[in-house]
Amino acid sequence: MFDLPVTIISGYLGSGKTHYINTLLTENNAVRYAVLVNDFGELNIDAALIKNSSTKSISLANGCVCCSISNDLDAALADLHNIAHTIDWVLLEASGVADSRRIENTVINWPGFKLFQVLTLVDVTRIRKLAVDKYVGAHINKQIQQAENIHLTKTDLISSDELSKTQHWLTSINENPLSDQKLEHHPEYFSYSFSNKNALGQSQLELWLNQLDDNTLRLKGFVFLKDDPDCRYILQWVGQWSSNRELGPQPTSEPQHLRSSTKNSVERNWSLQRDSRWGEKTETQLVMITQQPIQSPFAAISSTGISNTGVSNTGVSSPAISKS
Amino acid sequence: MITVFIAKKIITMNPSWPEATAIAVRDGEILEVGSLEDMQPWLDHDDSTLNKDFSGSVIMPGMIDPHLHPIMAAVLLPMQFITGLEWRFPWETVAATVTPAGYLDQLRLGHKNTEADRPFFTWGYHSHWHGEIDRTTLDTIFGDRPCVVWQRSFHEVYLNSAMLAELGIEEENLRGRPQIDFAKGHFYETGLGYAINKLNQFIMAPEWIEKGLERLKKVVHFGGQTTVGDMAVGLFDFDLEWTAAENIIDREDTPFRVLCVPHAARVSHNKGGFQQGLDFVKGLAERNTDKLTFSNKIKLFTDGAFFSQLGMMQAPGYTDGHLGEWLMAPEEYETVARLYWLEGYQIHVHCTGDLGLELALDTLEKLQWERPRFNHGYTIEHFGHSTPEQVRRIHLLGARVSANVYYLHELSATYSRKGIGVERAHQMARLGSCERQGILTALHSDFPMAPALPLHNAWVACSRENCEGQVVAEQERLTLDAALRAVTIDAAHILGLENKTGSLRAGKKADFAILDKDPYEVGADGLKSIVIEATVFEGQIFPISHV
Repeated sequence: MFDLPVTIISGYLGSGKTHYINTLLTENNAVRYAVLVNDFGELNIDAALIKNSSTKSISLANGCVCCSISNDLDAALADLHNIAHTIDWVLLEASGVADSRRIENTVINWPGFKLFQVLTLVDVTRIRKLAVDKYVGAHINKQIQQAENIHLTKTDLISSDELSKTQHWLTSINENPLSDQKLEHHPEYFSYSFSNKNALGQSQLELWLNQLDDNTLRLKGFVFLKDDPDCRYILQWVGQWSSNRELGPQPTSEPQHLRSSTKNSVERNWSLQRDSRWGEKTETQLVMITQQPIQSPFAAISSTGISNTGVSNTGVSSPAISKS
Repeated sequence: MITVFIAKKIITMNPSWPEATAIAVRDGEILEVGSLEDMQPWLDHDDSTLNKDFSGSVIMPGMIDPHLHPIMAAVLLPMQFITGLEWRFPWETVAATVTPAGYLDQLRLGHKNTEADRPFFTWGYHSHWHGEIDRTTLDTIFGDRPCVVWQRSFHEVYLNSAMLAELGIEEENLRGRPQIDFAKGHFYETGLGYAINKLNQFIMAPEWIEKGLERLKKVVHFGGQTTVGDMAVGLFDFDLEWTAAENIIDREDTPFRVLCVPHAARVSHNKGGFQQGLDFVKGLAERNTDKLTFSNKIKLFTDGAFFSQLGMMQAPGYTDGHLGEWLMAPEEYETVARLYWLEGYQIHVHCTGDLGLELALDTLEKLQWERPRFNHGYTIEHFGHSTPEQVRRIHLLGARVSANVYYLHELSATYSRKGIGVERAHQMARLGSCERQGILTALHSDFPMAPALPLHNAWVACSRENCEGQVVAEQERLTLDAALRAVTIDAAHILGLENKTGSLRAGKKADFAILDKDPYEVGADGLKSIVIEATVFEGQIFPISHV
């Protein structure tokens, strides 16, 4: 079984979660997101993008889907699990007024999902006020203390003096580095695609797959095999980073811990399964997502013929999207 | 046709005309309350019969539980209860099971006495009384029969091997899930949702829900109740709940009416936003039937569950430093409350911790400033932890209290040792202060969170005795009269049904509870010993059999 990676986007009301999710949803992306939001009435989805919608979910033409959590995260995850083959990544919105560990733990405990990272969005214009707020001050402080990835938003709305004071205050209660980069892409992954009309040799393919390390987050697609050219094969990367975190009242360590390798428990990290006969297009088609950029990721399986490799680096900001 | 009931004593709960011995009823409505001779002017104009069934008994107004959850009850009641405290039901009295060996005996007995071709579900397990159990224990007792043990808090289940197989739960998918222990068959806290989601095929099946609602009808009747409030319609699934209620509750043989209060957040999520939710709620009254009615009431929530210590607490908070949870962001609560306030709705707000209550009161104060309303019916539901200062504020703002007093019975001892400390644990359900401030105060069960036995709850409110036999904060006792009002006329006021029921006077529905003893005579200590012999709902007699 392949576990879907989940990014939790945490932050109080007005911290920019919806804006960020909107951006990810509407950009033309190699990754098909499923977003779980409390209320998708707030999402500003272009009607032209909507393929179909129901009270619980909206499917978009670009392969993304928005689902309403409706106070039942378990049911939302169960529904997603049923359509797991149609999505690559889950974005989960968390308001930060409940115990955020609880939401993280729910993801960690749900078979079929694994927690990739928790992004904490901080609205610099409001955070100092919120931190002493009668109702949410305690939650906000705890959220910042425990945050692994803090992203500052609305940084252009305050003076640079105020901004540096706020940054100083944030780093005094959380030692992790702050990022004030515009949040316009899903941080920390790189996506590559590959297609090849020539059949691949099985040993060549296996040799390549076995040398891939835990930099690879996802790899999937169809394979055109020399030894069985009439049938298509489905390649799935089953991953090796573990979501086996210790639970407990204390915050756990840095995000690297999430991705600690458990090589001994899995013999190999991929599966190749015989599927149906080929339809119209007989060619190998693969999508690969990595944490760090790699040079010529498909070189080892490209040598047999002409291939077409595309890359999109999602870690780099694009100026095309404006701030709201 | 007039029916005249006579009784040893009729307690009207109408302070201006408190006692009587005869009551005349026509078409389900009360014509006259007084002595038998006083009935005559009515009898001159119509045929009549004299009913002496209750001549040796005491007639009170039918009891009212203004806050319970039929759908939760329907999920729970088909299960076998094996519990650390006694539960009295019309079909059985579940004795307290307080030892590990006793627990295993009860499991064996339950297995033997139920249909072997259906899965076995039990509720009430708690390691405090029942020791440790696991999948192997259950496999030994149940063999191939699928079995589910639901923990008392609702936050843990144990499944045996047959049930794991039945649900298709496989070990390889559970690797690294810290709150799922496959070897023990144990799913808990955030690992529970996965199991429940799969168990829904049993416990949310229409036939299960209908069986559960049939049992709920008996439970409500057994407690002497003729009116209840469903204080969160749409909690699980609005359409499923409404269909089940129409099929099972809206029938001739149901001896009570239900005031339906929609769960604002749930119905809004399904409709795409709070404004859309409001539009939906506005149309609900069109569905009203004789027994199921929506009115101008709406249910909101501030903080988390009392049983999970997820209520939001003011300083100094919980002893272990954990925070509670807000069920919606506080400023969102204000926005939604304003939406309904400006439309003239009466807001019932779930508050368990004293900071949750603070938000409810701050919001009310703000809304009163923006658009003052009289008789606005803003009701604090549950009223777990509070401060004396907040009670005064409830009074000043014209709010009311519907309290789950059973909290103090079941939890004051445990919470004083763990989580909150003795001072605040003992003062939970600060009801004496409410009475002294003249705040309209009702008692509810929140069934199935606590037994739906109003006289038992009234006893807890008067005695403040907890399950370990300790009296806690006796200054916060209700007087006997206030406690009896809290389960009759004052509960009717909480539901906005005070002109229909809750006391016995000319013009109201003929809703009675028939008691074997006079509660004013037996006093607070005797409330628990009173037997409810029957109820009368809109003039029709519904006897109660006692096993």
